[in-house]
Amino acid sequence: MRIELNEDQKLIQESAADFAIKHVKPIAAELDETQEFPVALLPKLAEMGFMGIAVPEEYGGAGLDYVSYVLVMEELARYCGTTSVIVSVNNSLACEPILTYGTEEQKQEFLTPLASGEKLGCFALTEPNSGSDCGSMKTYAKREGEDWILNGAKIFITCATNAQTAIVFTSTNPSQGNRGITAFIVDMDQPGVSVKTMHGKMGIRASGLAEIVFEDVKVPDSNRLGEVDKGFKIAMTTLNAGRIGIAAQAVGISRGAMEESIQYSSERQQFGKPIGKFQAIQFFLADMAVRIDASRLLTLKACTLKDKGENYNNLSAMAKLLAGETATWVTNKAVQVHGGYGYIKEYNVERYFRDARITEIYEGTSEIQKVVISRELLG
Amino acid sequence: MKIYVCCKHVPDVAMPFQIKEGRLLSEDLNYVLNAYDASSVEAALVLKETHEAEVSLVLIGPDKGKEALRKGLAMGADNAYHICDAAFEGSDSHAYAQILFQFFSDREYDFILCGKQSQDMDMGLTGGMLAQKLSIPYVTNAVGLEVDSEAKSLTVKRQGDLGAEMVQTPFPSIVTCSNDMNDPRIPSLKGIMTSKKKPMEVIDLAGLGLEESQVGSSGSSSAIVSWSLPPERQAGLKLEGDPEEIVTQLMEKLTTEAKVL
Amino acid sequence: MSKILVLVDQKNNQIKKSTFEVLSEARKIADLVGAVVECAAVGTDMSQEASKLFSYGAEKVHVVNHSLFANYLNPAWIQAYQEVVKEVQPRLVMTPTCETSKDFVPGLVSATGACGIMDCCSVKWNGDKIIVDRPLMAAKARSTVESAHPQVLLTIRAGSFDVTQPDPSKSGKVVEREFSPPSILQVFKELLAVSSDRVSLDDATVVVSAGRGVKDAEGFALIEELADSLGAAIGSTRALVESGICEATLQVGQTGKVVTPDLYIACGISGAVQHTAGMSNSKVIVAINKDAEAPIFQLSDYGLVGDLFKIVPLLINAVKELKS
Repeated sequence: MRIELNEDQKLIQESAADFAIKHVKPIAAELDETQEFPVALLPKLAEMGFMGIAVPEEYGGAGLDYVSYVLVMEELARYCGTTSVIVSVNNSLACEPILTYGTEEQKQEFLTPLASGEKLGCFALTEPNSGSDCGSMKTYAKREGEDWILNGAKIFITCATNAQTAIVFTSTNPSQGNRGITAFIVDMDQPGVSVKTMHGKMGIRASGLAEIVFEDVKVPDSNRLGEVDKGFKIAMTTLNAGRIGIAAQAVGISRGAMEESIQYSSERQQFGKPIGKFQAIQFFLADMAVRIDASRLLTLKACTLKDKGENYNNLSAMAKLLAGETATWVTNKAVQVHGGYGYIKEYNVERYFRDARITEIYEGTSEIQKVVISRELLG
Repeated sequence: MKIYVCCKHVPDVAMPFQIKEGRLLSEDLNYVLNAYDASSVEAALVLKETHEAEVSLVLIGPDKGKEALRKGLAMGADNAYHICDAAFEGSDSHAYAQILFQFFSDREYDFILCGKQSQDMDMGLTGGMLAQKLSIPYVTNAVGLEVDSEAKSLTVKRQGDLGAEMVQTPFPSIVTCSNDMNDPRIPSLKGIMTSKKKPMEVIDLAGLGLEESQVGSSGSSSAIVSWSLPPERQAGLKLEGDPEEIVTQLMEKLTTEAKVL
Repeated sequence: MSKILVLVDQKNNQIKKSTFEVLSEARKIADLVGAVVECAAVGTDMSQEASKLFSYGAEKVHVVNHSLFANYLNPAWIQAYQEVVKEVQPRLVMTPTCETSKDFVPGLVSATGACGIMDCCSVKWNGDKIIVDRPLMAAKARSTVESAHPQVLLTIRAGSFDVTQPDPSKSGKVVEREFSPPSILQVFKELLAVSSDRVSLDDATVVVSAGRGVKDAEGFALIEELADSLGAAIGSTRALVESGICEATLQVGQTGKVVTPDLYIACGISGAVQHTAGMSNSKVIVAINKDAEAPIFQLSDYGLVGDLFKIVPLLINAVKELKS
């Protein structure tokens, strides 16, 4: 069953789809090949209002809801994993925490440029030795008068190569683990911040993934996001929102793989007929469609809860869990449908297969999602 | 400047459709703003960027036709008129021209743009007929448009049989637009949301001062009696392999089998 | 007696092949229903050329010669034809579809009160009904349209009808008409014409067409060489026109020209429906494309899968050899 979109949402979906076909589809393969961050695309995304979709207009955003956000995400991801993750990071991981936890001054100064697309944001949580166990992070912030001095290193940070603003999570009370983490809004262009590109990713290869090293970086206390030692909650709630975006990304990648498989099945002929006439292929496609639609519906359900201001943690975890696993499954089968051609870069499903894999890992692994969901069930 | 753009809501011809028992199954089709009209809207909006202009959209169609108007408003048009009445169903170009004539006959405008044809009917009559009825000049198949608001004239680059032609026409005129003219802008999220607040007036049969006999099937001079699919061309021989060999094979076929050389 | 009036399409006072196609069919219809066939021709000097129409079945040709017809502006065409229509009072008017007729027919139809139906591919006169078939939905579908209107004006899609064998024994009357030009508000500023010695798309029996696979001007030169070796016209897809490699007048397709040559060779053309809408009725279609899955191969009678930069030079040599 397809959820009925209202008039506004149909127009939003149409604009996102037209934009994706016109500006994203033609460069997707090249981005994967060169691993070069799509700088030229940023102003176009900004002009469309895609960089701050659910941020209120007074802070430079489009003032829409999360349903609109996932509609845009799915259309972008349909053609390009890289482009969709950049939009997701800026919207959910950079704008959202400032919107929720920032002071009015912080919103004016930092949120507006991010939501309007004037600046690009990133989310610096993960470290070489702290992924799922983010409470064990080592990046340290020490108070010195009106400022904090940050030292440490983050890795696997999407968009870090091109971002001007970073939401950085630091340990301010190491002995307290999760309960000693503080978040800061950091200017990436200031002295002490250095970025080193991480090459050689399996997929979403032009997403600007990098290590960020902080060496005596001076951050004013006015840039502290939320209360001291209360940053863990900010990280968790931000990731809750982020995983809805990733679920939509996974749905989009899956849909792309399915659509291309449908096309291929009607064109490729073996044994005197299109392979789509054979039940094996038909069953692959049927299974793809079911999984994709279910993932989409869970994602939309998470959105409607969030938009109503209700608790959506469980739903967003379920959506991301299902959508991520669906993306892996669907793209894998898509390669199979394409046979030898699915193994070669000339056909898009090869890229979709590699792009899909990360959706089960980042912004909370599938296992973490299961921890969240079972906690809800068992209390 | 006061610019009107005539729009139509048509099935998306890029998507598959079905014809059964001589009828187009239109219920399941996705309808869009006619591509040629979208180019006309874009042309008007481009002029609006450099001239003071009000861009108004006009559409004849059932209730869902308002989606096309919303799209045009989201692109940046200022207001819209939805000419809507069950009586209009079954209208051909002649009836449409009559309805539009009635709409424009007591309105002020500098020029009217419309798509050179609609993607569904591919007829291309309405624009020129409307101009003739209004006794104003018209130029068709525009691929470029410039305005001199001081001199109150349009310079149209049109595609003719011999090549591109530059034709000047004074206010008021009708220009029908080719989609080769431009690449219509994609409405931004802001454009979509502000379009909700822009005025859209609905006008019915009585509002235009028309009789039922003048519109719909009664007001039309022709009617589609059935739909069919064009004769399918069968895929022929596919030659692969060494270029020299396949060229030799082709030449043989063209001379002995097809006998075209 | 009922009358069929054929409006003549001419270029530089030369009647185009498409007019003879329409006239041939008009004659057939007239013979079936017992009608008279007359023609109307406007131009700067059409009187001599007009006599060619008799061997194809025209009984009378109304000629309007005037310097105004040197450059195309619709009020002159509309006024001239309107006057002929008023005098002749034809039941059926037919003319080839071209940019010119697409432009003046709407105004003419409104001025005469006739029923206009554009781009027909078949015509039947059945008692008081005119029944036509015409393509629509970007030529993906066909419709049968009927009109019982007292006067019906049709434009006819190129290649819909065959030209009959001319019968030089037939004769007719050329009537030159007086013409008082209407007031014309439009101003013809400039024609950005493409002059070429090559046979034009409208008249050619062989067309060599280039698509995106041709890549650039250098590739296009190769296509030109092939066309010249065959004495063919050149066509192109929208992509090449957009990238500036060739003129818009060469564009074949939904928004370009519709051609029905005996042989259409599509080089580096994928076969998107916007293009095939303009050439799918060619008698024989040859496609050259390196992508074995390209949609053009669904249409072509002979498809060559391979690099056109290798195949076309070989084809040029083969053609030259054949012709020598």
